[in-house]
Amino acid sequence: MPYSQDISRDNPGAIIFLIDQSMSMNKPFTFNASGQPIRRAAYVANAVNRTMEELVSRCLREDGVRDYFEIGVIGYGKKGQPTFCWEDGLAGRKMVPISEVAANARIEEREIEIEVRGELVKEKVAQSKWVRPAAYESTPMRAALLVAYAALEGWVYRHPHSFPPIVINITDGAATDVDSEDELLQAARKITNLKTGDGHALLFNCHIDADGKHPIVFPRSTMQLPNDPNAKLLFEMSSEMTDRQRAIICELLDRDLHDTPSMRSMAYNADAVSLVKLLDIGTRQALNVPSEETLTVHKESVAEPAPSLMKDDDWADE
Amino acid sequence: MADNDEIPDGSPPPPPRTIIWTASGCSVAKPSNDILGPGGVGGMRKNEDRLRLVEIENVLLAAVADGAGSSGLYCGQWAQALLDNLTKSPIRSLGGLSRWMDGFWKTFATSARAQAAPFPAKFTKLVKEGSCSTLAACWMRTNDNGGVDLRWLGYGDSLFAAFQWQDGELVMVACNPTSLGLFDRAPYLLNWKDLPAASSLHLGNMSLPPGTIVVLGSDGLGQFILLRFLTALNARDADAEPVTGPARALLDEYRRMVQTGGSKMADAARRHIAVPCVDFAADLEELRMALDSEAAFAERVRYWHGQGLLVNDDATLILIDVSTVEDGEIIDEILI
Repeated sequence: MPYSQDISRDNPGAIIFLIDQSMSMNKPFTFNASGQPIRRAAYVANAVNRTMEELVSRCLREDGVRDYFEIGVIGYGKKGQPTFCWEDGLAGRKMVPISEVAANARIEEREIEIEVRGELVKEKVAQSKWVRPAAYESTPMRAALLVAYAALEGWVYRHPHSFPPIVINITDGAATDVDSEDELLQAARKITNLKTGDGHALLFNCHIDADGKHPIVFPRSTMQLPNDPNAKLLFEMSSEMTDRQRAIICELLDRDLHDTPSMRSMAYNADAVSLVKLLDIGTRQALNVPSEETLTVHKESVAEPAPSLMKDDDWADE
Repeated sequence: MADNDEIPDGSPPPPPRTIIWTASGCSVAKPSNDILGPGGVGGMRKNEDRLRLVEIENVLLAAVADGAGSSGLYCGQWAQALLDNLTKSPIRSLGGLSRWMDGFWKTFATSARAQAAPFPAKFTKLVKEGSCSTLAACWMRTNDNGGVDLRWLGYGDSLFAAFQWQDGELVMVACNPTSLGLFDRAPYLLNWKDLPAASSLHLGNMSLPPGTIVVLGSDGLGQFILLRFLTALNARDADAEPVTGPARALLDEYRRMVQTGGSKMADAARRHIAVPCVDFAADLEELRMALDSEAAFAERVRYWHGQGLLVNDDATLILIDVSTVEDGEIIDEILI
C-alpha cells in the first residue's frame, strides 16, 4: 500500500518549501487585529515558519529532536537561478537534518492563551523562526521546481524505502519563466514522477490570493476555487490524495468521506500545517479535542452482576 | 459443569474449592529500537509503556498505561503517574475520573514544567500539548457467590479484553477498543492539561466465573492479540456455533478489512490471515509462558515482529486467569 511507510530515523522524510519572493509579494494580503496590513511576503514567511515549527515539534522528544526529516527552503524571486535560501547558521546549506534546523532557529518569545483543564491560562512560549519576508522581482516558479527536483532526485535514490518526498510551493500568482501552462505542468510532473518504494513524491501548492479570504484546504475540484486561471493551474499541478490520505483528512477536518470522492494537495489562502498532521511521524499523534459526546458505558451481559457488586458504594455504578 | 462430569450416586462430594486469580505482566521497549544522537552515540530509546499489577487488601488492581510518543512530553512519566495514583477503588464515571486526576495533575505538571524550563522548545511543546497516555485498568475482587467481580476502564487504544472457556474454545466476552479501525485513528488520550472526554472513556463491569482470562495490553500487542483471535475465528468450520458478543462486529470488520481495506490495520489483518492461527489459546499460552521473564517476553515480541505479525512498538501485557483450587491448596497469586 503506498504512503504507508512510517517516518523514522531509519527511513526519514524530505520536505522542501518553495517560496515565491516576487515583487507582488509586497502587496497587502490581510490585516492584523490592529487593522495594520500584513504583506503577502510576511504571511508566507509566517506560514513556512509555522509549518516548520510544527514539524520540529513532532520530532521533539525528551532526548532531543530526532532526525525524522531533512528540510530544504528554496526562494524564487531574484533574477537568475533560484537557490536554497537558508540564513544565519544554515546559510549555504541545501537539505538539512531537522535537528540542525531546530538548533538554528531564531527564538522569539510570545504570550499565548491556552486551555488548562477548562480554564484559559496565559503562558509565555518560544516561537521559532527561520524564514524572513522577502520580495524581489520576478516569479521563476518553473526554475524553482527544477531546483527542488534536482535535490530530490538523489534523495530518493539514497532513501528507497522512505515515505516519498514532499514539496510545498507557496505562491501568489503566475510563473514568469514559462511560455505556456504546459511548461509549468511538465516541471511539476518531474517532481511528482519521482518515487520511492512507498509512492510518488507529493506536490502541495498553497495559493495566496489578493483578498486573503475564503481559505480552502484540500479542494476536491476546481469548482471550489475562484475563477482564476492561476488557481486552476496550481490545482492541476497538485498531487491527487490517495484513499487513505483522503480518509485521514476527512477525519481531521470533519468532512464526509463519501461526499469527497477525490482531493488535491492544495490550499487556497491557507497554510500547510494541516498537511503535517497527515504524516505518520514516529508514531500516531494524539487528538485531544474536548468532546460533548455522551459517555459510553458498556455493560457486558456475561452473567448477572453479583449482589456484592451492587451493594458496596465503592464498587457500585455512579 | 458439563453433563459427562456429573457425580455418580454414592460418590463422595467434591472437595470445597476456592476461586483464585493468577496474574502476570511484562513490558518491553519496541523490538526494533534505534539509537540516539549522531554517529550512533547514545543509547536505546526508552520504553514509554508502564504497567502496574498489585493486590491492595482484597482487590487485584491491574493496569497498563501507554505514554504517547509524538504528542506532548514526559509521557512515560505521565503514564507512571497515572498508574501510581490508582487506588483499590475503581473509577466508575467520567466525573470520578476527573476528580481522581484533580488529585495529582498539578503536582505532575509543576514537575514537568521545571524539567522543561531550561529548553524553550521543550517548554513550548509541554505547555501547548501537555503529556499524553492511554489507560486500561481493571479491579477484581471475589464476591459472596464464589465468583469474581470485575470493573474495568479504558481510555485510548490500549486493550482490555476478557475470554471465557465455553465448550472447549475461548469465547470473547468483553473487548475495548470495540473496533479494529480505532487502531488506525489518532487516539484521544488522558492528558493532565485536558479534562477527560466522555467520548474516550469506556467503562464496564462483569462477574467472572472460573475459566476466564483477562487481558490488558498496549496498542501494538492489543492489535496482535485481537488479530490472532479473529484469524482463528475466521477459519472455523462453517457449521461451528455462530459468533456472538463483541467478537461478532470485530469479525465482520476483520473480514471487510482483509477483502477491501486500504488502511494499515487492513494490511496487518492480511498479514495475519496469511499465517493461520490454529489454536488461539495456544498463542495466549505462549504469551503467558513468555511473561515469566523480561528476556523471554522480549524474545517472543521480537519473534512475532519478525514474522510481520506485530508492529514495531513498545509492548506491554498483563494476563489474569480466574480459576479454582481445592481449599487449602497453596498458590502464588501474583507473578510479575
